[in-house]
Amino acid sequence: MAKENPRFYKSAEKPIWCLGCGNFTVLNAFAKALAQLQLAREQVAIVSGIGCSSRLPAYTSVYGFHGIHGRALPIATGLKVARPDLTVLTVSGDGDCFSIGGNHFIHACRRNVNITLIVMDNHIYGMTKGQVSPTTEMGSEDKLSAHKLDVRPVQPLALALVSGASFIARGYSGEPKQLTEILTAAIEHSGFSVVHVLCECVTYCPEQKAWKKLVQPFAEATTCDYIKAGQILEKDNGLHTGVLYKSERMLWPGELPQASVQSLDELDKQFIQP
Amino acid sequence: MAVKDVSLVITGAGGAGVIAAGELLLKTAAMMGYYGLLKKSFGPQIRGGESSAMLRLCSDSVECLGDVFHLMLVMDWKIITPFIDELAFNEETLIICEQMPADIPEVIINSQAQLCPLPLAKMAKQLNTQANMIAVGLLAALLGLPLAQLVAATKQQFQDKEASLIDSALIGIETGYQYQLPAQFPALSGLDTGKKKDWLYTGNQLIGLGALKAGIRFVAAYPITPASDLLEWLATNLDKVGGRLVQAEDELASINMLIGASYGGVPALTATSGPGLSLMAEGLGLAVSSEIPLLVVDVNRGGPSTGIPTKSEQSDLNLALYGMHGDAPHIVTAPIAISDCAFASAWSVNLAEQLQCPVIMLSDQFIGHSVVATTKPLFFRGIAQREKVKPDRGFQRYRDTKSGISPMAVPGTVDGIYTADGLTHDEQGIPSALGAVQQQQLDKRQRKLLRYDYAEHWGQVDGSGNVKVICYGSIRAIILDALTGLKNKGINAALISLRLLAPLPLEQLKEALSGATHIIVIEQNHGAQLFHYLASQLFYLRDLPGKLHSFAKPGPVPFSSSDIAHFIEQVVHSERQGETEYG
Repeated sequence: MAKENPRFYKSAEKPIWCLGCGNFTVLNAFAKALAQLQLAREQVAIVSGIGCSSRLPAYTSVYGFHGIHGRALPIATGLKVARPDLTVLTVSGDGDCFSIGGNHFIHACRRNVNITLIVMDNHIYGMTKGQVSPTTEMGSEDKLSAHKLDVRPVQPLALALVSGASFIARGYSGEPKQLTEILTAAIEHSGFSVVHVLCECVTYCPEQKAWKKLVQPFAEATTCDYIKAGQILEKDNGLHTGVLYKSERMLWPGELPQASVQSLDELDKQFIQP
Repeated sequence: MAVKDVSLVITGAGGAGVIAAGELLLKTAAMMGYYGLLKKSFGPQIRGGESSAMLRLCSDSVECLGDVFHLMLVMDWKIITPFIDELAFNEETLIICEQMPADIPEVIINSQAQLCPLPLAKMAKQLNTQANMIAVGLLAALLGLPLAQLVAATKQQFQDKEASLIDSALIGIETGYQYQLPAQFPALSGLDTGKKKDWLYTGNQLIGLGALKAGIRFVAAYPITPASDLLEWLATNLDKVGGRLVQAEDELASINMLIGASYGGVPALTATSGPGLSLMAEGLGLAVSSEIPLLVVDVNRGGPSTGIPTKSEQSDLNLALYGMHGDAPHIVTAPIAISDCAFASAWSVNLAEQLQCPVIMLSDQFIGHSVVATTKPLFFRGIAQREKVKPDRGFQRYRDTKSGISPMAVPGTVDGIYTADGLTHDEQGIPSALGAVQQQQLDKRQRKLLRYDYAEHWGQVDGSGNVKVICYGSIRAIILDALTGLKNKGINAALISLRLLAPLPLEQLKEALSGATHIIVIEQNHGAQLFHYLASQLFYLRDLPGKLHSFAKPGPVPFSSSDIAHFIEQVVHSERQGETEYG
């Protein structure tokens, strides 16, 4: 199968996702983006945590790591630092990325490591059967409370912006073509790319079907101005899509140092008294 | 009058240069051909507070302090309280102090040590020099270390400092050296060869050196006492060998960064202490399941929780052995001496790489922070290779092989693409909840550790006798001191020091224990963790000879060789039964 064919980047494994789940769109967009970029499969690695979204690596035919809840970004960071030659992606969900992995998200943005992060946000914990997540709207049913949810949701794009991500976009599982374009641009971007995907959960949040009518592109074009991006987000209702912000800033880490010692025994010298 | 083995301690306020004074004396003695050990001890304050330099100089190799300090220099009596229970004296001890204390500490009164006041601060002020340098000169003269050597050591130690500072230090040193103290002290003597003991290192540094020589090129870590200076050493030296250290946001991140780097084919290490190791337990489980090689160095401090961060203990053993969820076979090692640190860390890296599993190496604060002057340490040669992919055989990442070791592809390998997984997975790496798959993979992960030939590296047996003592880590040195003393009393004992704690080398232990009348487990923790571990494991040696006894006590007060000797005598003379016996 040729590299241009998206099927080349998918495995034969059958996803465990529910019929109609938004995650299928993300998997397809991922395969299409890789096909467009004609990346060699063995040079791509995709790392995930735990949750519905995080099952994705096994459904691809590139190197994968299905890790533990919340820790996909540290695994991906270690891999990218050790192997800068690889194209490294991370797939995560709203719980995985903004709750248990929140600290890692902030620090990955801050470092600007050259990784593409895809957060498949369905506003719910699907795998554990429907508890509220950090992006669930206030007033929603709360399984672990006798009352409605009384905590405001995290703002993923604003958090990415203030934390230092250099590419910030939002896609929607109902817009596969746009999502493929965003993913392609995100992978091509040199720096930490956050692709927030509104990803319908047909099982626990059937009301998300309404997204189809509500989701609209950002009115403004992509900006490289941090303040402008913030102003756009002030007016954002969470349902605007497209590439919000893209800037060139210093990549971390810099080039790996070349060994300066001929032999490792040279390290002994610092312990030997003249 | 002369001695071959002397212990001294200098105490003062942080910033008074107590540690620098200890380092200078150690360096000078090493140049002369003595072996030495310097234990630095600090209070919890960031700056200021208390500090002490405890030093032992000897004509034979030393890796522990003596039971009694022969010489003490007190720069400030107020500073002595935090260390007082780590100090012991006798009637021959000479204590030089800034001024006579208002209240002489009870331990000093009881010891009948000789007190000798000397106004160091006043002298230093008059001569525009530093009190600690006068102290160094004075102590060097008492010990019989030549002035020329001390001056050379000082110039070397301060080579990066301003000339005026070196000059004033030298004035202090010469003043102290020439000072006629109204007290006598036996000089050091009995050099074995007069040859330089030209290696000067801490255990933390040597662990780093061994790890880099074994191929470690990626380190991710979160700062924690007493592991931070190991990380600082690694940061600078990784740069020289083309590797990198990443300061992670927490230990949850650092262990997972290691997993990522090692999955990418780069040997990886982290260093931490108890609380950090606790956070890493989750990631270690993933490394076991996904079969990722990595090394975690735990520099054990007093616990639990924040405990006593600046002092030594051996209380993380249970965490290292049992801290993971599920059935998670992994390797636990320990250096058997400060001078064993490079060997032990390199061997641990090799085990991790060959067996594709996490290795936890248990060091401790005493090993990590003590400076020794000695000869060249032992190194483990050889860089481990992971089992490679043989493309013609069809790649299965978790193939159920006879050895239990499966081929491991590195990203970039065309025929090796797979997804590593923390979910139970089949030979191909595909997640599965089938009982047969769980059984097969758990068997495989255990088998690879049990079938491996650890050769003679599992531990070391010193001496022989029907009394068998078992230990690991820093306390070996003080036990050896105790056993030497016991030999003179006609009690012969063998010391078994474990470099491999898990999987426990049962066959080798069985052989080493044959003919035992008494088996004594000594360790520096409150719960007798090693004793209980060994008791449960040795149970399988149905014909375990002799009774099992425990001698365990927590830090921070170090064991004394006389306490250990006394305990062993009691056991041998059957005066001690019951309490923690197992037989």
